[in-house]
Amino acid sequence: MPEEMTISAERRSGSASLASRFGPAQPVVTTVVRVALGCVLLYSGYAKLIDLPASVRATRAYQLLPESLVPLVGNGLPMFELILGVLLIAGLLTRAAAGLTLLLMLAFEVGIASAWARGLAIDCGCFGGGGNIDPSKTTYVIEILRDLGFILLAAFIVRWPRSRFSLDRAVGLDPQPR
Amino acid sequence: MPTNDPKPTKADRRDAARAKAQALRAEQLKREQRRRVYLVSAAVAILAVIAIVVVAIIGTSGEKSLATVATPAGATANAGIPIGPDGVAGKAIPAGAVVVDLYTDFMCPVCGAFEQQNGADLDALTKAGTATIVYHPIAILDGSSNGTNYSTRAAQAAAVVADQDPAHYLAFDEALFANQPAENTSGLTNGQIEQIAQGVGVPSSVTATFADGKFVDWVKAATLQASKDGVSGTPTVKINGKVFGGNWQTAGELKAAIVAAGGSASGAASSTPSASSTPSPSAS
Repeated sequence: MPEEMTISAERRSGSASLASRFGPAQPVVTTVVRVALGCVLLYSGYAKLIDLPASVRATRAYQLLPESLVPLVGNGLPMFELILGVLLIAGLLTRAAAGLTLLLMLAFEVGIASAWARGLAIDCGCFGGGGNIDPSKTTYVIEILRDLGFILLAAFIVRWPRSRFSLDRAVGLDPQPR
Repeated sequence: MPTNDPKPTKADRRDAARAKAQALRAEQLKREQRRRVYLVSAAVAILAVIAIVVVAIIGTSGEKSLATVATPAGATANAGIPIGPDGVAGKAIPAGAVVVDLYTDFMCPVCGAFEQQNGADLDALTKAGTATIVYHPIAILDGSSNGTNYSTRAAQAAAVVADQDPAHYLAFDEALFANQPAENTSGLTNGQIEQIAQGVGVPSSVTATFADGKFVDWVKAATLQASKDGVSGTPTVKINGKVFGGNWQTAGELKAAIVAAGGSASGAASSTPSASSTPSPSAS
């Protein structure tokens, strides 16, 4: 019947326009997301680099790694984060950098969850600037949610890695569009 | 084989050849692009590994071990300042004593609160000979003093006093907490630290050596040692090597635990605190 055909055609064009709007907008979105995530990593890595002994102490406090690996991870992780941040901001090897970031954030989540489960108070009290007298559950929840947000951002970039103003595009490394 | 399909025309054959050439070119472009990706990835990976290894080496070689640094007189093997019943620092810990290790950072406001709540109790226990309190001034909050490293400066001054004027160590420790600067400020100046020391009776000849920084490396090594001994925040209290799991904010609770440890110790207490591997949540 003519009326039904008109209605269903309208519905179809409504959902199609949303998907078709995402297409051209996607590179801009990815650009914003990768620069934002890159800045987070850059800041995080830099903050640790300027006080490496503190980074080592923090790594040890999670009690997840054997002592033999603690200094390597504690000293090496800040530089690793810094490099990922630079890659994301420059848009070089974007998908790989985002993938590694995602794995890193997953590792952090495991660490935080395990510390919470074992009742370790790591960022509470006087440890690198807490100052709270009572170790509070909310600190763990906030950190887990925060890193979850970063995981989602990184996953977005892995799924849609093409972006504007990226070295990938300049050097011709962009993966083929899906 | 005879078919009914029309023979391919010249145009058809040309189109087919063109399509094949295009496909080949696309394939070649893809291969070249893949090769580019591998090359750039390899270059970035190599540079990254070099950078990370260099930083890791710099970091690990910068760590001081207790055995190699100048140590204040009377300090324990795990970088603590023991206080004898006469209130003087640096005395050997008597065998069979209840050993209370107290880890604090002079910038830590929670440690200031701890000092207010339990300072008097600890002094009383020391005088009565019930326990030997071993003070561990560490520097975990250097990042919170606007780059002036107040935590290290204050802890270093305390180490000098322990070394040169041990009778005033306790008073100096208390005075530093009484004049505690706020976190994320520049902390007290070196001049102010010297004045506070002089205020409790430390001679100016001793305070004049604060600036030499003789025990800065000891403070760094002590902070690392504390971390290895399971101290993940301040204040941390250990009784006979085991982290105190109670609530030190409750008046008298810590004192009762120390007294109880003395009662049940009867020869089982070791005079050298052993490392505890599980920090307790309430101690931070």
